Amino acid sequence: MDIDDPHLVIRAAGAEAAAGLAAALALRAEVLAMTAKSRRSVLAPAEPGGLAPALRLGLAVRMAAANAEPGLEAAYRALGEVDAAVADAAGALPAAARLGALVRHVDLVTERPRAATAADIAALGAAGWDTADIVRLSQLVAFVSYEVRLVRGLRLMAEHGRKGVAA
Amino acid sequence: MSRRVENFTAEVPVWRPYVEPVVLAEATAEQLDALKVTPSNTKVSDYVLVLAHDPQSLHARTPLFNAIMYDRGGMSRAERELGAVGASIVNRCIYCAAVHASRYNQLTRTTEPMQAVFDHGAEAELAPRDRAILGFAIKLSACPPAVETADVEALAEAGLSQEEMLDLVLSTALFGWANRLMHTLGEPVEPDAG
Repeated sequence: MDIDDPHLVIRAAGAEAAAGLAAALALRAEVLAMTAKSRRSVLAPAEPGGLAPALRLGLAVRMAAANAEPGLEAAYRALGEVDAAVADAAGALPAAARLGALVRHVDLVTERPRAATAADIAALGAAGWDTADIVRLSQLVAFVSYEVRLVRGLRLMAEHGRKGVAA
Repeated sequence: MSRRVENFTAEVPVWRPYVEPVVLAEATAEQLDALKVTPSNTKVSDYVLVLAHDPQSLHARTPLFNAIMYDRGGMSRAERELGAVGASIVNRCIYCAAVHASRYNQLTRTTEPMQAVFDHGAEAELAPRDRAILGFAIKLSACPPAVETADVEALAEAGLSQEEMLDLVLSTALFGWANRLMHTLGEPVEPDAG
């Protein structure tokens, strides 16, 4: 998998051969290209700050798994080194307080964003994360939450198309 | 301190950040480029100034947001706003819901459908096509997403083309993103006491 590939979401959705989708995907080719640019900006940015690339990919894998989207989870795993301590420990938090606070926040915003409050941002600051890292993390969680839903939508549209053909 | 807005409304509140926005006068060249402003321009929202702490992601996101919501073809602008509101209700982003409900109301010259959505969510009494769109957006916004192929079938039965379905997926997913910034990095407050 190539992080800059506009068709990563189509592959992750298993929708490459969905003939009925071709015109819609062509209409939104620019959106898919811009999605790839945003993907790079959160998973492999020029200025990663306190969030190393392997940690970013590890968190993305964890979020794709929490959203039950195995195709996207596999695509993220294939993009590079993945921090296994956060990727493969669904529901469990790392023991180190600083990283634990980060992963706790990722789980909260991924699964129950409506429950997030000012206290959750304050907790990240108290654990030693600066404002720029808090914004970087927020964009990462928010982008993956977008991409996972785009893949789900494409996957269902492709499945629906196949059913239509079968019927 | 002005009062926090607790309920869905089509009157756009003020967004008050939980973290310090970038100070425009101290912004780096990369931040200014991402903000698309000249140093003399002072009309930049606190929200965008917060996002400027990570200029690369802001720079990539702005044109993507505009393309999904405003590019020609596919689903109507009003229906994309309905997808955005569906996501914002699930994620309880009162600020996003207000902005996009008010745009929906302007585009459709109505207020009743959106009030029904605020009052009754997925159960709102809407035209069948709007009901299918809203129901899909609400299910896609759950974690994990709760949509199934039957929900795509419902969109097809309501008359949506493949292009329109993709635009609904995109506008709803985009607000899975926007809500997770707006609702977690700040809060909506009443404008007057600012």
